[in-house]
Amino acid sequence: MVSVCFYMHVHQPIRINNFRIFDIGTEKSYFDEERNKEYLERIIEKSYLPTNKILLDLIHKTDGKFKVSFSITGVLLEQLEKYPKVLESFKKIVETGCCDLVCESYYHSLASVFSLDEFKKQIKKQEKKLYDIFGVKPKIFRNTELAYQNEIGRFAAQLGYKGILAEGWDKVLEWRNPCFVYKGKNSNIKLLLKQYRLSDDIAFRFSERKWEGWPLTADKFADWISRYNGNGNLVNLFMDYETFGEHQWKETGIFEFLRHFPLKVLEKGDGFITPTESIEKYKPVAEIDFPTIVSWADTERDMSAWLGNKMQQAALSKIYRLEGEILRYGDKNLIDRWRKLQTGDHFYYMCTKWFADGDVHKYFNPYKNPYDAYIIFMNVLNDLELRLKYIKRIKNNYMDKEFLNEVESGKEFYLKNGRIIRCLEELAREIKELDRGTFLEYVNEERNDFANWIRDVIGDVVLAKRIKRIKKQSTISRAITERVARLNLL
Amino acid sequence: MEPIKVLMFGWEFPPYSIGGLGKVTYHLSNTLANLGTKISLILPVKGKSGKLKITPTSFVSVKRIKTLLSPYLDEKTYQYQYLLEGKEAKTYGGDLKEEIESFTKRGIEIAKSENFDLIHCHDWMTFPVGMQTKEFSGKPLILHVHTTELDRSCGGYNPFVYNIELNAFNKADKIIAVSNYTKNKIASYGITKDKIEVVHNAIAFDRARESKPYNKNNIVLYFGRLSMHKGPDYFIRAAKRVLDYKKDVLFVVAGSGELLPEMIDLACDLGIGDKILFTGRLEDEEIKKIYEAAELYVLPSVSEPFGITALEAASNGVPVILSKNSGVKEVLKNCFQVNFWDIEEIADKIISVLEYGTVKEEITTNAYHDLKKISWEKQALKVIGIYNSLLKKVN
Repeated sequence: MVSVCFYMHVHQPIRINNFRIFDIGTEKSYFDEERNKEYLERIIEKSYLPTNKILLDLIHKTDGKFKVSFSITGVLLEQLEKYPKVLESFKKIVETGCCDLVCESYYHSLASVFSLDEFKKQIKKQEKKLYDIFGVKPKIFRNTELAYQNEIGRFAAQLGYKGILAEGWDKVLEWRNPCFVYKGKNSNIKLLLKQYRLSDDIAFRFSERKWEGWPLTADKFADWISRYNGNGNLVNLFMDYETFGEHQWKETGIFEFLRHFPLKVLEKGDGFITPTESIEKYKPVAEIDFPTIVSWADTERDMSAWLGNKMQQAALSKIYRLEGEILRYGDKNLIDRWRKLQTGDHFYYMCTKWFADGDVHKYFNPYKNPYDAYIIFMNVLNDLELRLKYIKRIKNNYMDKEFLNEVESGKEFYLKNGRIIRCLEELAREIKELDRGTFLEYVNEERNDFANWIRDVIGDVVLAKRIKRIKKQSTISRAITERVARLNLL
Repeated sequence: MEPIKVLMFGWEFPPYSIGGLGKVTYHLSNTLANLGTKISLILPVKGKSGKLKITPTSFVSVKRIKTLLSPYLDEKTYQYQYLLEGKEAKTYGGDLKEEIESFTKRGIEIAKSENFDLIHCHDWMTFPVGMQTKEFSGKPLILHVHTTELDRSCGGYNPFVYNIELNAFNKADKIIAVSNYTKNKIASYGITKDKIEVVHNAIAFDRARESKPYNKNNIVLYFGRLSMHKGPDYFIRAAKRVLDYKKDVLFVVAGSGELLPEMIDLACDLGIGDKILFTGRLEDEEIKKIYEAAELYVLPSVSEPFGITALEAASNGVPVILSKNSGVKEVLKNCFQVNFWDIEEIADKIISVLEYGTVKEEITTNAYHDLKKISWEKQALKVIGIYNSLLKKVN
């Protein structure tokens, strides 16, 4: 008997707002809540709810012989907090004991390539999230896009993982077949390798009418699995969760297929197994060397869809260059946003290798072309960098004699009483002399125009922050005068 | 097999050409001839132009008709031309309508002495002569549409021109549109889409030319006639928005047209007169230099049936910001597409390309791949395919 190890990856990124260069330095939010809500609700309706229902039914119907496993990214779990019904449907499946949870980086990032420190933090954060929601501590790891090489295996083993998922790619396996448990090189991590032909029969070819296997019936597929009897222990079916209902629409019959193929597998005397069970049950038959990164993506099985062009490289190197300073100076909110920008999808949207042939990768891609994706991302990143600079200056009480200079023409502060302010000194004087009514137009519960002008035009973020919450006219004026005196001493 | 003999009514070759039509006539007739078609080309020429500066292959025989007509002419500019060429006024009609009648008459005289299988006309001024030639010869008529009255007029179209187009579209055996965008425009005259084939324009792209020296002049280029439907005012307004944000950018408006004085006024009114350079009409050599200096090319057309200059810019390694209302986006995929009225978006894209050098590098490299896929030879083969299918139907 062979055992099917059925694993699904569940993820939705938090997409970025249409952030223009003019938005840098404004308070515009980075993420497009409306669009994310729209996409998420669509996918909940079309995929998550119907699929989870079928999976749970299968577990009950087979008395727990059917088994399944998920990796659910932290960024998705966070988004699902607004949809308790959906979270509940995942929890119910996990609680049956027939479902294994696999860990990965919380932000579905490429940190494993750029910063192992950051990678570790994101794994730890994911572990905590999974424990908080499901009460589970996973033993199996999978990296973003199944990107794997020896070093990643070693790293996961150091963090206590017993097994890792990887692509069963012919160029690495050579004569070996993916239906056994293997061992990674340079560590004791056990490898579970994707049977990509059978996995892709469902994920990519299911509705492909030109494919010789079409239509794919439950019976036929169970037969194909059965053929591995005598030639392996495991058939690892790894795929995106959205295969069910999104990549393959309901109309293709995918749900009917999902409802029936596990029953057919059991009927033929084969079974199901979770990743954790498989590494406990089977001993590695050999060691496999993955000297370079292999992923489950595209015909190349590499990372070129994320790192292949100069825009992607520029964007990624910029975001990871910020690591040191952002962790040192950033507040929790800024760090979280920086990490959400690391989600792999943002870089995937910049991929030009399909676009060169005029073919945009369409699934939930919010952009018309990869160039827009890049520009918008860089605008956001530059805003993040600017905020970081402000925070850093505030923490270091940054002072520069230039703050005393007159601003260039066009950037003056025009008061409603006709006075024009060109520098800090004038500002202090004019505020002191303003009548109460006019003052309140600039400084009230909603705004402090003087603080904004000092931050954006003068550039003295320290002073801006100091007076931002002050409502009293004389106090503001005095604060500015004191600052001018200090700056004069430089 | 006997070569196909085509009677073609085209437009004057570069450097006397105005806009893209002359270029297209030259390249298309030349390539068709090289592929074994016999072309008798009838060209309207201005009084003053002498010999052809560039000559096509000997398989194209050229006959010329002296006229004041030129592509994109309207009544007002015709009158202006007429006054300029006053001393020869006897030769020309008193208004545009008369001049077209006179051109048509002389065209037919030539046509009667020619031996041909097909008639191929380029844009509305040659449609009347094409229709009448079809009438007396019984040969199939192909209309090649580079622009329609609906594109040129931005709404308030001239019924005289519109009716010539409508009538000709109905009488034609086949219509060639330079883009799907134009095909839809033609269909909006009530013409069935089956009758319309799309043959995009091409350019002669030097494959060896893979990159241009990196420069950082921050020059943003507009190059085209200054007519309402080309949207030069949107370019200038976007320039203003850019300059509010970023000072070290220079905008070049290359080309001439009826809106030139108005555009200069607009630039001055917006207070950016010193940041916008109006060059007037440029010679080919100068155009080349300006492409070399430019960092970015913007084509903000309200309606652009094709937009061959976008291909020229791309072939010179200049990234393109393109109006969504254009035909060229169907072949130049690697560009930015904007709504012509969205000043914010155009300005945002301009600054972004200037600020983020990587995107420029990436977009120009990929645009070369787009350009490699198109050639006049491929397009001429499509046209020959259309010829063959028509002749099969006739026989």
